Amino acid sequence: MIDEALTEIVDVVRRDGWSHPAAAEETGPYSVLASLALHLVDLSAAGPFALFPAVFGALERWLARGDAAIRNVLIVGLIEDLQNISLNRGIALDSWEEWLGTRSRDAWDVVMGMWAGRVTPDALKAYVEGRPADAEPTT
Amino acid sequence: MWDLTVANDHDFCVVTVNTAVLVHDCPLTGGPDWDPVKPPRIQNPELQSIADQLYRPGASIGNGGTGDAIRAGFGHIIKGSEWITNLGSWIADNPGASPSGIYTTQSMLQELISAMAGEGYPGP
Repeated sequence: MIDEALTEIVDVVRRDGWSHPAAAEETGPYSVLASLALHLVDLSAAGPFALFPAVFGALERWLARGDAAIRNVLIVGLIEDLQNISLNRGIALDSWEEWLGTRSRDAWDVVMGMWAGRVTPDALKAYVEGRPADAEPTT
Repeated sequence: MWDLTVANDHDFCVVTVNTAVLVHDCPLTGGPDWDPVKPPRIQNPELQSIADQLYRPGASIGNGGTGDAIRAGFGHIIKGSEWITNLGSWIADNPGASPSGIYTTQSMLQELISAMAGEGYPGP
């Protein structure tokens, strides 16, 4: 299922002529999405932005229907990487808001809260698993 | 489980999926670009891109590194293990990199490995 999600998200950008390093695909999904995040941050500086709706639309869909493994790679992977790279390069995080759907914005805020010390590890795990924070963990 | 204790020897190999990396577990002091409690400052643009992904400025968790997210229990285990592979591959693929670049990459690698092993920062 992760492969299906990655394919949908990455293919949007691949059709635009971008390709991630082959080594990233061999390494795993976090590496593929790290490469994608770098590319999106580069585009965010000057555009073009034509593919952003499709990329963030796919992110929104997979946050809604993905299992915990997919949500983890999207939240701890793609969203966190977008934030980290943006912060390191002086790009305002609120510049991404226009592209975020409801679920993506929630996930965005959870990652912000995690690094600000407002979200605990248990709360993050519960959020990724799509259960209330005070419910029993699945593992 | 990552057991990096090697009796009477400071040099050992870390074998990743694609790469074997020679690690020297000397104390991380005196390096030109590395402070284990701060995000690294790096001259090489490619390494800087890696650090841009692995470190978060202004974070309240440790130095904002993925290693600190692992230590804090935030579920970055797979992400960390992929970066161990990536950093190991970078060292293997860039034998001509500057000593500073190699040192910094090895330091980021060791930082992740120690976090995965449930340890604090590498070094003294």
